[in-house]
Amino acid sequence: MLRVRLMGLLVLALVLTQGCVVSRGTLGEPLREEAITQIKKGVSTTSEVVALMGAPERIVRGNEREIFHYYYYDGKSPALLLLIVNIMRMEVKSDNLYVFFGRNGLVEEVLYSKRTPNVQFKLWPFGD
Amino acid sequence: MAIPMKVGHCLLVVLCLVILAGCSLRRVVVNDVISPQRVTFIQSGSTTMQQVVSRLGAPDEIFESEFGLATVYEWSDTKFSAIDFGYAARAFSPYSPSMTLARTGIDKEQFQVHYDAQGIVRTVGFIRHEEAVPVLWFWPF
Repeated sequence: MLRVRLMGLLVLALVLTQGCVVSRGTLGEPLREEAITQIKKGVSTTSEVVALMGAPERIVRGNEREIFHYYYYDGKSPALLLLIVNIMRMEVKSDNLYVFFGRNGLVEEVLYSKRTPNVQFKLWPFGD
Repeated sequence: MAIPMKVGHCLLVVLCLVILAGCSLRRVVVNDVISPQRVTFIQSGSTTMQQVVSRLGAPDEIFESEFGLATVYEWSDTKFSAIDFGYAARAFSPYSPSMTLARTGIDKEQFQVHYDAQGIVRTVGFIRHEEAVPVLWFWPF
């Protein structure tokens, strides 16, 4: 009897989850907060920042300064592919870190924000 | 001749399934929306880059303009919906003809903040924007 129930539960679980797709995609490496906190304004040099964070994804020049840009993208996408209806939603958010260097090669400013912890697996395509 | 209630319900379910058959909804949302209400604190000539970043987060892009740095916040909402009227033919035919209406709306937006050489906000603005299409909007014409 127990075996029949277990089989029934397994079949029910398979029926309920058929057509379910859960996928995740990332771009770049996550920005390590413990490394970012070690970057000190007026103290850290270009090579120290590179040693901590690696080479930047982009280098921007502006106001006679050099700006290192590091980013990381995280996307989560559930989907329901049923016989009659297909629903898919994907949420993507990014983390960005900018390190500004002055003419003396020392860090002048650090701009950082982390949005990726707020990425959720949302299936319902309507609303926010 | 009146149709019994049970049969009526069954017909309604079948009708709904036929209408929904071949329906496809997809949505891709990138980053959070920055609404005009969220940026009212920015005052040209006095707000600094640090103050903007503390409220809106780090921008997605920084570039140099003629007067100083400019920052760009980007977000998008892409909606795709389609309906395949030929899908229902699968129920009774080995061949299902494709009769699909589909529409994709890419709602890509930007908020730009331009600073002067001292890092004080010079001007701000959203890119031009048309009203977003609803999620279920497969009429392509």
